[in-house]
Amino acid sequence: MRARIVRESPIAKDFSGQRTRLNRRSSIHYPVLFVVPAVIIYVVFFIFPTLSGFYYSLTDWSAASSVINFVGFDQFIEVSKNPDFGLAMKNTFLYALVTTIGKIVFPLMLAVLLTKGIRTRNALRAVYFSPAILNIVAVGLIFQGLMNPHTGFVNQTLRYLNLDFLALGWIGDPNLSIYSAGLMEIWRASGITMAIFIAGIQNISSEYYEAADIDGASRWMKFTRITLPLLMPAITINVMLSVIYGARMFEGVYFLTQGGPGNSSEVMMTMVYKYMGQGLYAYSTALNLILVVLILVVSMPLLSYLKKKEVEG
Amino acid sequence: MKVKTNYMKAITNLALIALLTVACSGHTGKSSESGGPEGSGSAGTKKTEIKFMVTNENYSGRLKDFIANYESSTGNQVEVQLLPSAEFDNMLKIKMMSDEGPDLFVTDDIAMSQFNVPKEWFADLSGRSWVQRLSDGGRKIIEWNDGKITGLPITNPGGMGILYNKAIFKKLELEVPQTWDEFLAASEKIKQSGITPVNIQLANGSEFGTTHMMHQLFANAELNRGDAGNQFWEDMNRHLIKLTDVPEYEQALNQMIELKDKGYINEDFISNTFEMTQEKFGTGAVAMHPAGDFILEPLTANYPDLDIGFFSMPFEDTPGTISLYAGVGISVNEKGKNKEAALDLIDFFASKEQQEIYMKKAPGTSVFADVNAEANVISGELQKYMDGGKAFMGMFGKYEAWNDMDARKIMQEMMLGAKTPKQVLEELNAKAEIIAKGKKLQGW
Amino acid sequence: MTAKRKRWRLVVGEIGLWILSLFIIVPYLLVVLTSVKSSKEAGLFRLSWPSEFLAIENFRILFERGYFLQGFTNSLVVTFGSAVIILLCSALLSFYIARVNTWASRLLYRLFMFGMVAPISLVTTFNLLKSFHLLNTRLGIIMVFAGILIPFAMFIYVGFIRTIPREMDEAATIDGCGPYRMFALIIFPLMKPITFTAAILVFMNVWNDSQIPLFFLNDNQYWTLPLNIYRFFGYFRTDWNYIFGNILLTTLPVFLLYLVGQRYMIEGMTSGAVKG
Repeated sequence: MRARIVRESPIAKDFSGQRTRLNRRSSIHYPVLFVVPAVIIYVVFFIFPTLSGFYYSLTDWSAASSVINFVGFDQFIEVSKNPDFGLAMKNTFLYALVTTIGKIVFPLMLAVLLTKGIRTRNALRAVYFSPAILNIVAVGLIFQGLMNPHTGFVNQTLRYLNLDFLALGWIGDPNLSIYSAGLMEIWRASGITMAIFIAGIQNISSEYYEAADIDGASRWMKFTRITLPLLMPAITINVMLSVIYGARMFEGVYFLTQGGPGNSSEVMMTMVYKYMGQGLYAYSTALNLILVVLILVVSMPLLSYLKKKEVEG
Repeated sequence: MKVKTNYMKAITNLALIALLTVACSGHTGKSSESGGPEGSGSAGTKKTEIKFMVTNENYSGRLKDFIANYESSTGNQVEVQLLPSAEFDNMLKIKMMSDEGPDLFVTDDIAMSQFNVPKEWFADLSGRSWVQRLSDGGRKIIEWNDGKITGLPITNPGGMGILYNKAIFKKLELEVPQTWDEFLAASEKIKQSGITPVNIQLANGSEFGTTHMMHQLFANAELNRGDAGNQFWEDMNRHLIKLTDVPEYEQALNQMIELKDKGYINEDFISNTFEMTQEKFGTGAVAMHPAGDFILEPLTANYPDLDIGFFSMPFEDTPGTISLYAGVGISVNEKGKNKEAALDLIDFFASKEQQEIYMKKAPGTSVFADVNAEANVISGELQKYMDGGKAFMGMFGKYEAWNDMDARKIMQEMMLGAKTPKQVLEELNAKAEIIAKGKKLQGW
Repeated sequence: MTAKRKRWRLVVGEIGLWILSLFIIVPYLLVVLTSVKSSKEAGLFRLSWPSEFLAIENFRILFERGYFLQGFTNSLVVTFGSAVIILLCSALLSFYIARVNTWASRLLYRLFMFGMVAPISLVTTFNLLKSFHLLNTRLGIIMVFAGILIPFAMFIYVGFIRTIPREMDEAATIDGCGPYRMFALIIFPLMKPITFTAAILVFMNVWNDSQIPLFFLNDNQYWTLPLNIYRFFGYFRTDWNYIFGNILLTTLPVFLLYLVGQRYMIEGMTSGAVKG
């Protein structure tokens, strides 16, 4: 056991919280009181209203009548018949995928560069992080201005540079609108994942790199053999947050395209919101519940997979 | 280590201070801090405080002035809750269902509200004395299908048709077209002169500009049925007739597509917004634009010399018809805590004197027979259509399963060429079924 | 020689990163330029030089008609209150979840994970706040924010606490620290970089949220800053210059906080502490 401690120092390699032998030591006492405040607030202000909200997906509740009847799974059957349902599912999936890739790859490169000895790194970090500070509604308005196919800055610049073929329809093109929304989210939220990566990189002891330098490792090797494996907890966090956040996105789509043109950029949450506004609460809750189950089905195995990677790394 | 403990201390101290501040200020509720935008809190004698929920978009200057008038002449206070329209429907419903509803609220359109908002929320205003003073046309616009009066317009009611630039028509020696072929011929001539014949706007959030054309053309279905019009709507609402069964609807959409195919519509329609439309119409870059008189206020403010006319877009071999809208309505919450005071406010609002002040600030059509409303440039034309029986309420005020937002989205798809008129009607029908089933309407 | 080449490479990288940052800065230009334009010009959404500069006039209106100071106070109270509650609760919670490996602890983790996935149910939450008499109070929305964001903060914390070696706990226990002192004196300080990151993220989430304050605060007087933009969506006339000015003013405080707070992410602190 002692040998293990030595090997793990200074950073424990076991990030996963899987059983470690050390855990068996009874000398450390972690009082249950630690969890009490969080659990009380969470259960009272979130779990209780949310679960009781879900019950309504089994009823015929709508703003139009004050009588609420239990109808079993009728709402789910109705939802499956909605002509927009398939498209919204596809868009939700696409959006989550595109934004997750964008929000991992690009910020990871930034984080690596910005933890090197660049003099103006603090200013650069602040600049790259800053879009995340903006209100999504505001970002939507800004991008409506920038991505307008006719008067927007993006296309005007492209035309000025004689790159007309790149001057696409963006938010005005039904085939591109969902990607435009994804692009906006990558622009907006890359700073967040970058900040988490930076915090992760700073947690890596410099000893590893010093040892690697002695062994004459190349920079690429240092990145793949040290940085990436030791960054797995941060990657897990970022992938999970991006997937969940992307699948649940509402504002980032609604305030840019309103789900349009037509229904081309409709995602699950914009549909949920639409039917809630129409007062069809049971219907809207059923849609919402489908989304929650789907996210759980996708994200839980993903989380386990990433955790396994962490251990291997 | 020392630095760290200081840091910890600072955090804990800040935490404590923050918690205290929050705990103390969170509970103060209404008693302190008046400084709200509408100056809600008032010291001294406590009069009735009426809560009024309204969208920002509709909290116009004249409405503000009216509320000030009301407050100074009654001593009551009106606490205005301004809300963004994107969230308004949702919030009103949630508050109403939790019995936290305001005393007065607005609805997007009085005629539309009978379908979009539960009917039992509305106090019945049919028995108020001012109802007798409504003009026949005015009553027709604002009453529900069951004959109830539940609200008064705070934006002018009006009609949707084609607004046109008279100077362009004069220069090109064009008359108001009476048939669809004449309309196409006129458009061709305008196009030849280098002006965009018809401007539509379909940018996200501004799609209403094209739906007006659709409503106006759809109204021909009711016109063509003559006396059987009421029966037609009854059958529609019980789903005995589907949207796809009405030939006029398909023809209407075909006409819209024909305009686009012949190049009579502005090319940038998908990114064209309400603001851009005003610029183009105001500067004479386009000759015609489908709209109602709500566009006049901002348009004439920026382009005071613009000479505007109004006609109904022809339908097949006929001049066609106008479609009406009732305007944003103010209504009383049946279960409101200050229902009586709210009813009094409506009575005050309905008085001849207040209505005349109100209409003076934005000329247009008044629903009252005895109110001298200054006409705007199109209200004279509109009146002719109404008197001639060629004006019908839009789909949203007749068709119980209608959702205008769905229609707007589908208009985008249709004009972009993604859907044929047949597909459009099928999809609208499918969406109507969802709404009808959710509302448990009979016959669906 | 190699040191020189390395520095040269860094300089190239630095210049490249600044050029790349134009993608971020240009959209800001749109905001800044629009905020000093006239309403009519602003409505056209063009990235162009304003024909007349109305900086002073526009920002004066923001302070008067936009109730900037009132919104700022509300935002500050709500954001600070929620951030403190969320960070304290979730740091403690995460420490327990990361260290204790029982079925109950794993269940807790799953339960909180659910909170990241499930959306808030507006109607039932509204009724809940009503029955607690927390409707239309800032405390009410602070608690709602806490309920939503504790899972989020926990998720970030747990991953990082697991990278803090358990020997730290043991060493502290051997030194005679009780669990509370151990957490406050040893563990929490080690979590500084991630606490800062989490704090910024929580702060931003709350500061920028417009839906929760809108739904649970009736009075405009409690409106937080982002909601103020709605004051300028007028009757068929939207004052985009004021809206963008408001966006600018809303963003600035968080931006400054980030700039100042960055100092707390001192590099290598964690490894240094472990070594020492």
